[in-house]
Amino acid sequence: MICSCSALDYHPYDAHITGAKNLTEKNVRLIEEALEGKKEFRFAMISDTQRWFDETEMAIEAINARDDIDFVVHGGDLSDFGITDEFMWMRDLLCKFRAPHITVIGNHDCIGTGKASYETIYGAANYAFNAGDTRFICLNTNALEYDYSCPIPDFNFIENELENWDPNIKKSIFLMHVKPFDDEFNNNVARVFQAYITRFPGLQFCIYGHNHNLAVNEPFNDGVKYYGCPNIADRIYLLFTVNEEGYTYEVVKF
Amino acid sequence: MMNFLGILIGILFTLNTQPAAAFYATDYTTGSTGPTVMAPLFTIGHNMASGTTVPSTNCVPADCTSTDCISANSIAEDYNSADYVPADCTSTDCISANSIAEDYNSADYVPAGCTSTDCISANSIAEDYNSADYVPADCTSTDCISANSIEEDYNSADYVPADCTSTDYTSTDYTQANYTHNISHKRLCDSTTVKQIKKQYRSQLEILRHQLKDNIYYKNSNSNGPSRPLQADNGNNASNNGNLGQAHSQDDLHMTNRNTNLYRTLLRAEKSKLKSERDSLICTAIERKYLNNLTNYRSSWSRLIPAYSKIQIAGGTGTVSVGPGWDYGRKNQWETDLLIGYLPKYESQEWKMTLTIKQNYIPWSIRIGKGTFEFSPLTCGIYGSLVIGGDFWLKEPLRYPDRSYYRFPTRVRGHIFLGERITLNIKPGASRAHKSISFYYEICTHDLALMSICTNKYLSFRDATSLAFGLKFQIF
Repeated sequence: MICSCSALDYHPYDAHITGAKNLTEKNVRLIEEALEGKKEFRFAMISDTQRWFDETEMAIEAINARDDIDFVVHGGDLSDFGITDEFMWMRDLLCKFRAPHITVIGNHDCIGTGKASYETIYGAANYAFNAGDTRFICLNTNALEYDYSCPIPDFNFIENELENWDPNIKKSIFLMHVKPFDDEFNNNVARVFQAYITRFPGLQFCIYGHNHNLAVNEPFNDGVKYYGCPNIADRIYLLFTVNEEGYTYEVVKF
Repeated sequence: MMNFLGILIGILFTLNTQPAAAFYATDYTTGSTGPTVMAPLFTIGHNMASGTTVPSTNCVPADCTSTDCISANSIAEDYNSADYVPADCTSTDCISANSIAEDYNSADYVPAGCTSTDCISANSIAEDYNSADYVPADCTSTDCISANSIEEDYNSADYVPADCTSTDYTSTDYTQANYTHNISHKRLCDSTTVKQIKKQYRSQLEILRHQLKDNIYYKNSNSNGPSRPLQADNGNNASNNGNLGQAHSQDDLHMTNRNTNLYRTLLRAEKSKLKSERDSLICTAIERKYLNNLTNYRSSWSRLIPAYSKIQIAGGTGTVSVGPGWDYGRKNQWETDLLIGYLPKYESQEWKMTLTIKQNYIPWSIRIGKGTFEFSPLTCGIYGSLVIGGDFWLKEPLRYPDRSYYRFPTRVRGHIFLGERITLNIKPGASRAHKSISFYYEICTHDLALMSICTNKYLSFRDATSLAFGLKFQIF
């Protein structure tokens, strides 16, 4: 044990990942397979678990105790400092979920070599998958952490999703860490962003984190609801049930 | 061929009145004679069987007084002691440079005017003696010193006159302790020598005064009368024992104005000569201060010479890091390292460099057995690392609101460690580079890891710490 490579820390930000990688791809496959053809599903959401390992563990226990959760969504900020060890600690903890879990990148996850660590452990920061007849589109919205060489939000990705839309998919849900009009978002294109996403068929709602605040709002006053999940220290997870009639949500304390 | 020529010349010269002699070819290098190679074709008025020796056909013109002499340049000319040496070199007109009586060799010969029997020309040319060019042949004389203090055969580039006042001196080999580029190497600066020279000056001055007084006041009597015999003041006869400055009687003291002026003038002139001689030898006060400052400057900076070097694997300072270090403390229990590390890119986009300053404390070093090994059960310390390259900051970039969004620097980290070390003391003479080699391992952690574990129970100290190990090479 003392001689294993993971016992050596070359640098706090060395981006030297040992253990499981490409978790998004693996989890997405599990979700898509499990919900193939289904029209109803239920998912839990937690967010901003940075350094709150104890609370995260409790959330995992609470969610694992249930048997009606199809997958878990993490709203971003898995790490607080972006150091490589944090990603691996949090990864190993989140892997204790019985259900598949997916994440989006948070702004703290971009610090130093965090972007590389996140992308190695999970996968691309912009991705999408199908949960039954609903498409989940997961976006990187931490514009303040990038320069213009990397488009945030990535409208090419969004357009691409729209152009290659599978007609069997009837609904869409957007997941992001930072919502429009919050400090990390590229608010210059907030309305452009909204114009794009409202073109998606059956847009249900958007879910986000970052603010460490439980909130429901309509930033554009256009009927599109944005649900904000608080940080895990508040001991809350959100529970969304999507079915043919629409959707319901629940704020669950643990 | 030479003998034939010799015979021919000899035949031409037999017109002199010297009695005919058996004709012998003479070997002038050894002085021996032997039978002729060939009989003469003719003689001119001489009885060849008389048995007497004719003058050597190599000899100098008739007015040469020495029958043993040969022309140094083989040209018949008037005898000039500068050119001619006796074949056996016993003549007082010539001296061998190495005082060995030997046949003439132009490299050894010095002009008759040379006053030193030990001298040879530095440039192997017979010339008038000039102390700048000549040094004792065996170079052990106190008249010369080697610029690099090694006794060796004379080479004009290495040797300078002992008083180093020669203006010919340009050797770059000169290594006298106070040699600098700015100060004339001619001047001596160490305090002992300076004191000596100053003392010498004072005693020379004293002697000068006495001499002048003797010569002016006592010897320089007016021409009106003979110098009177000395008489003691008490009327008893006293004898002048002939020593300078002693046993002068009051009667002999001629302190006239003229004498006083003369004394003063001469003293002033001689004194200034002595003074300039002295000053040309020693440093001025400012030169000495410069040299002292320079010595201090050098010795101060020399304390920065690293005593050891380390190479370390991991520890948050890069995959591998190396660098020099300085140890201090009564038992060398304190060490400060400066490490440069290399961090490969791994999953990121570029490799990076790290710079670390590490402070170590090693309180105990226990000798094992005969002292070949030493074990330090505890090493501890702190270090700070800086990562160069990559997307990090010391102060947050301007894009963040109020530049205090994350409120911690990402480029620098603070670390602490605990470890142990084992040292191998190298036998003296077994290594030309190092005195000892140590192997160490350390358990280390950094500020962010500590912060990560202290707010929860899920993570343990084990999660926050990592292993590092390395080698230390002690130079002195």
